[in-house]
Amino acid sequence: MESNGTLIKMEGVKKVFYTDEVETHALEEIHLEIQKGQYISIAGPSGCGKSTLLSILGLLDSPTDGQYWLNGQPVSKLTISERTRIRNREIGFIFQAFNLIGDLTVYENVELPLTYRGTGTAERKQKVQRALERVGMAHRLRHYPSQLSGGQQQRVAVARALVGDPLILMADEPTGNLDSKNGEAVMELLRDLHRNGATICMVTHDERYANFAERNIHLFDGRIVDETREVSVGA
Amino acid sequence: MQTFWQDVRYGLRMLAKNSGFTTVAILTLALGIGANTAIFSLMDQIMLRRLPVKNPDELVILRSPGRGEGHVWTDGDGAQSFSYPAYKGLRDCPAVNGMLARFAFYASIASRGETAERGLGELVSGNYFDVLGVQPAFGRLFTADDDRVQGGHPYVILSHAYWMQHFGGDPGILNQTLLVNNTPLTVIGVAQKGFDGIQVGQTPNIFVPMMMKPQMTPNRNGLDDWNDAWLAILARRKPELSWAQTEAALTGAYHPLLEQQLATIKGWEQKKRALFLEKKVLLLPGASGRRTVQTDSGPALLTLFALVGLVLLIACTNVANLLLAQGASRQREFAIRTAMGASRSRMIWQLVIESLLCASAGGALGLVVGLWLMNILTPEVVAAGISGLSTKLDGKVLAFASGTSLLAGLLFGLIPAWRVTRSSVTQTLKDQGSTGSVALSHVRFRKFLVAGQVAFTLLLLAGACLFTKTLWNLRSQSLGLDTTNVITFSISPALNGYDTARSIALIDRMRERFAALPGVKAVGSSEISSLTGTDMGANITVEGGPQLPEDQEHVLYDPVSPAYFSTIGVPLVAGREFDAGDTTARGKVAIVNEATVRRFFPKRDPVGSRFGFGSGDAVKPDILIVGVVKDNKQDHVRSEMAPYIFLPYAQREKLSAMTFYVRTQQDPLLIADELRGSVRDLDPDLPVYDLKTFQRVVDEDLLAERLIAGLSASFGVLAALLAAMGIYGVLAYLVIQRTREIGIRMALGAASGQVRTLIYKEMGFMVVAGALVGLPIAYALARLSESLLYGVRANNVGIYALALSVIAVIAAAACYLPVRRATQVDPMVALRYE
Repeated sequence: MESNGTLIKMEGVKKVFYTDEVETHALEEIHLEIQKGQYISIAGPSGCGKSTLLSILGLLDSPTDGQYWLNGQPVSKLTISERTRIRNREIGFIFQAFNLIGDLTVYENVELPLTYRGTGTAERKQKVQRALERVGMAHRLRHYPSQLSGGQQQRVAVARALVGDPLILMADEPTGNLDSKNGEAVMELLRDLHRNGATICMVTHDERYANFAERNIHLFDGRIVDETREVSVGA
Repeated sequence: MQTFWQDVRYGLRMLAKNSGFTTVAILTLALGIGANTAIFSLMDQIMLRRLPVKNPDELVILRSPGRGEGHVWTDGDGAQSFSYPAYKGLRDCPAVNGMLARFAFYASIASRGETAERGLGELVSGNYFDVLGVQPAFGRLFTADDDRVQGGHPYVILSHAYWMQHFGGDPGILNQTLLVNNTPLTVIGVAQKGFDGIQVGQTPNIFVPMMMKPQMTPNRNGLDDWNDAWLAILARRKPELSWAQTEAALTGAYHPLLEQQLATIKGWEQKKRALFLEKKVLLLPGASGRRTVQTDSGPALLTLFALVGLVLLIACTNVANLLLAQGASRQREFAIRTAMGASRSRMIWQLVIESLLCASAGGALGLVVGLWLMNILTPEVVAAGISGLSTKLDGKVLAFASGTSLLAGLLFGLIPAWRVTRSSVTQTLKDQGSTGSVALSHVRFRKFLVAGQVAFTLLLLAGACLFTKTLWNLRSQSLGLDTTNVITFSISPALNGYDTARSIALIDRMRERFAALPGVKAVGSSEISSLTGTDMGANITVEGGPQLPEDQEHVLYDPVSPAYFSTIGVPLVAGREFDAGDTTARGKVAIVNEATVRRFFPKRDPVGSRFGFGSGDAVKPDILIVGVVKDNKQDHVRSEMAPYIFLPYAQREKLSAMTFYVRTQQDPLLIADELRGSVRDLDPDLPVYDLKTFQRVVDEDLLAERLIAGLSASFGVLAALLAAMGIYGVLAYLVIQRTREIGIRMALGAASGQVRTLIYKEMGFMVVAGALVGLPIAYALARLSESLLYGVRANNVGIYALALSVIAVIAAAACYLPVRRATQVDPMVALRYE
């Protein structure tokens, strides 16, 4: 498949969870394309499959059926180490619960993806500094996550997602654990990143924040039931 | 390398953060590694070390099993003893690259006018050092020219250790004279550093030419006697000849020598002569020298090594369990790392580095524990007669401790790392800080580990019970004598130039002096030291006695003093003890024990009967039995009561050494100085050695049993505590995991007893599973070590029941807090709990 401007393409993706004798169909027949530079939000009620979809998109999980191409490459044929490498180099994650490692400093948390990539110390230092400057946290290098507010922690998490220059940012309810003021700030940050060319795929159940994206997908019972696109009005 | 140091830094930070875990893990490992290091040090020095000589693998020990004749000196395997004429005949056999002979002897050594000290010497053939490839530290070593004329080579070579300890490494000792066994010998050199002879545990201070045998062992020459087998022979094998070819060639050379020996033997029937001539020369590997100590101590050391190995396994299991508990709480961290692109192997490596850091700290502390244990154990072993052991850490022990630490780190680190890093990333990241359902699989694995720990603990506890029972049986049995308030020591007047008449006179005077000391109740003496593993034996023929097979005619005998039996508390059953009149001026007399009566006098009164030494009709029954004493342990506490005959020392033709027993009214050590002083007054040059209480002699004879029982009991208690920790850890975690479930159950009407049953069932699973695995293995191991047991069998059900009971008690105790917590769960709180 040619990648052209398409970064992500899904065809007929299904995900079934098997627990004891119960089959849970989390995703059904998902067809989805995300272009490079797009800002897409996935919304829907609790349990509709948003996070499952994001996990599959972020190569943290695999579909039970269907095809998924990332940057033109069929994901199903990837080995575990190739998936790990892609996750490290091409995807940046932002989680609702920040998911910073409490025993690492801000600097160490942000440098983590570069460490796994084998980036040299000098380059790592430079990139970490730049990422933290972008989110306004360069002055808290030596702090531990527990010494930061929720909003600050999420900004560090965004810096960590950005530091490796990924092709796409996957954000799972990035404002879920923040008050509205900090939530707004994080959303503004994502919008700025998008304006500078970042591809973002965000899961949210909050309509206000979904509207920050240029394209909104609505999931219900594991299916895409609605899609709205921001229409640019020419001057 | 960069990421390695990063992982090390992070690992250190994690260990510092979890200081409780780190402390418990390091202490646990230190005990395991320390115990292993100490026992390995003994294993290495006694069992594994090769002689520090040229190509030790080429060395072989000669033995010739089968019927011998005359005197056979043995320290375990009489087949390894050869006569000097036999050695001379074999020495130049072209099938080997040299053949040496050696004999260890006690030496009274005096230098520069100092008081003589007792030491150990080796009489060695002239080619001894040459065949071994040992170099002089300085001076020169013996050559064939030092091995020609009996009594004609008054030279001595010092061992390097003796030179350093006794002469401070003074090179001026060269050409000085030492008085060895009353013979002036000139020091011509010092042997290579680290060379301590060819028998582990028997480290000579000096080496003397074989031709000086008449001077060194004045009561027995043996250099010309075909029927006196006293020499150990080692040869250097030719690599181009196979083992069998070498044996065949040596046997070929041995045959004419057997014929020469046979010509000196009278009265043998044809069949016996034919059998004698069929004797062969067989070879044993000699790379580690003579293996007397290895053979004697091997089973005990291997048992100890197995015990400490089990302790380390238990320690590793325990730390693995702790790591799993810790890992469960770090699953979120690993999920994040996975999301950031860390591979599983990368995370396992990171966890293994943490484990290795922990193991290294445990290893470092373990070395300290090991040194401490070595300083306790080694002197005990040396006191029990295995000399030359060191308490110093050497490269091998360090390498062992490091290797053990590394192995332990991998052992307890790898499996938890493997499991901790395999949980579902998506689920964990969604679980908002809870360790979630993935932790439940870890709990199952932890239960499996604890069951393993229970199994290992059962092995140790069963072993501890068996060995403690063995020691109890040995201690509580009747020795047939009373060791309370008795002090003992030995002298060897013959080594200081005393002939037998002077020796007897000296010993008589000493007994009188000692008896006159305040607080002394009785004094006795004997040529053989009781309960030290030494003995003397011969065949006897009883006048009018039953016809016995030749091997049943053998008895042990010991020349003793008047009042010997009353001093050491052996009751007289019939007749009388020896008195001052039992000398050569009167007819020969003897006292026998009850075992002798049972075998040789089944239906008659032995008192008044006569017997003679030797077998056959030609024996003259010239010894009158004047008394019967109760059986008592003679050579070892473990030995069965055997026929024993006692003779008055004043009727001995040759008397070499004498051991005194002095019974006192109070602590016998209080008169130790007075005893030494009394000996000094009579002969200031006569060394007093092995001065100790009689009870100490018993303790030293039971060293192996004491060590094994003491260590297995200590390790058993330690293992039980660790198992309790393991059970507690898993149950406490389970209660937290199941708080919500317990709350629901209680809300639905479960009584606290039913909740309690829930927890006990979990504990029961671990204990029963552990017992099912542990019991058969414990039984199998007990069968393997049955030779170390005494008065108790491997199939003693009570032992296993006791071990199981101990485990049940500690398991119940470990349940107490988790059960209490479970039964105090508030359903309302629990239902909100997540």
